[in-house]
Amino acid sequence: MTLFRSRPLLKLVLQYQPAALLPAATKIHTSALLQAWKPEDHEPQKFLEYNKKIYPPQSPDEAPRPAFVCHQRSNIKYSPWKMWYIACLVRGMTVDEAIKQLKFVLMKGAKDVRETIEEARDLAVKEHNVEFASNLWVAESFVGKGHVVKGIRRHGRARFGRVEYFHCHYFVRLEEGKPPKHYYQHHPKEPHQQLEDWLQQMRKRKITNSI
Amino acid sequence: MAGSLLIRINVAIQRLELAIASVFTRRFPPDGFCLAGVDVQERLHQKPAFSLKDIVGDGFVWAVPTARRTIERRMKRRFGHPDYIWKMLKPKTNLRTCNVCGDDHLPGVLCPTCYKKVIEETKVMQDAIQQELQLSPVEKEVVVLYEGEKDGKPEEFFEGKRIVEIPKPRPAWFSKNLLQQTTQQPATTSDVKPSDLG
Repeated sequence: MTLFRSRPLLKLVLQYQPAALLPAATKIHTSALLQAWKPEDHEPQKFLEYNKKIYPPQSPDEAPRPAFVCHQRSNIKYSPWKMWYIACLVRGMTVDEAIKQLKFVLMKGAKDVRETIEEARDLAVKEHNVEFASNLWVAESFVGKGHVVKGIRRHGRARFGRVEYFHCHYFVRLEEGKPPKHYYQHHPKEPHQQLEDWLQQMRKRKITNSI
Repeated sequence: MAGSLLIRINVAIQRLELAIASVFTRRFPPDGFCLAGVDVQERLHQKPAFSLKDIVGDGFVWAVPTARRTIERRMKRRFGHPDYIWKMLKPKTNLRTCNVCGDDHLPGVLCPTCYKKVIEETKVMQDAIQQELQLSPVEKEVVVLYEGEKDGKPEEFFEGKRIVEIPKPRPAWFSKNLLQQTTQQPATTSDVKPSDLG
């Protein structure tokens, strides 16, 4: 087990390269700095890695890959199980519609979700080569459990209960283009499709042991 | 030295034989120690398996689930039921858009962004009136004028009225029609020259 974490130390050394080369460098011993607890080191990192992926160029006959942006907000002071309902509302909507609907949701987490989607929209236009800010739809919207602060509270008759203060992470992925008609695969079928399926079933019937 | 070693080996072998025999027979007392003529108690009933319940009593297994929650119960808890209480959020289809500012609002409500502007302007007018009149009783009609409105009117227009001036231009959405008094007498003739329209 090393006392130093090598990757952040390397980053720090590369940052302060000229100073580190000086004989009277005071920034060589940085273990106290590295071991200090930083909130940004404990946030989820994997979702934002999708933004950094560089795709190979497409051939002309391939369908164009739509631009997307992944964004998150960490450690929102709200229960993840309650936030899940807000995340589910927004799935499959255009960003404008999502922001409009979230303004009329009377829940505490709706404010954070709306702000996250607005930030994601701005990032998409600035950094991810999206032409029109309104041409985006919510492809993924989900919640994760964050920090939990635990405590005790006293009930009557010297009984004690456990108190948990939950935080949640909200993740959203916006994609360019028009949203699909049905977000989930398990959706009710159109009447003409239902008729076709019924006809197919009727034609598939066979009298047993017949030719 | 060799003798004691042999004795020790013998003793060890005897113990080993006893142990093997006790595994198969499990009688108490073991075979080698039975007295002639004394009944041997067969251990027919195995002692009940030891569990923590014997020490702690039933208190150890309080407040713990005994059965798995079925998928139906889990889904009922998360989603509710469409005929009773549907827990999932439904998007609102009855939102209206304000024609003036473009923001959305619920039906039956004035556009909140426009109304906020009205509230702020009202506050400015009220502060100006309070500053002008202070604690004197209100006996005459009070007229609020914005920048540049006092000069256009003759002096007799303001006879019997108290003027309150606000040092900023009139907002574009504030037409003079809005300050029509409710205690006005109804008109006697139908040909009325429109004045003070804005």
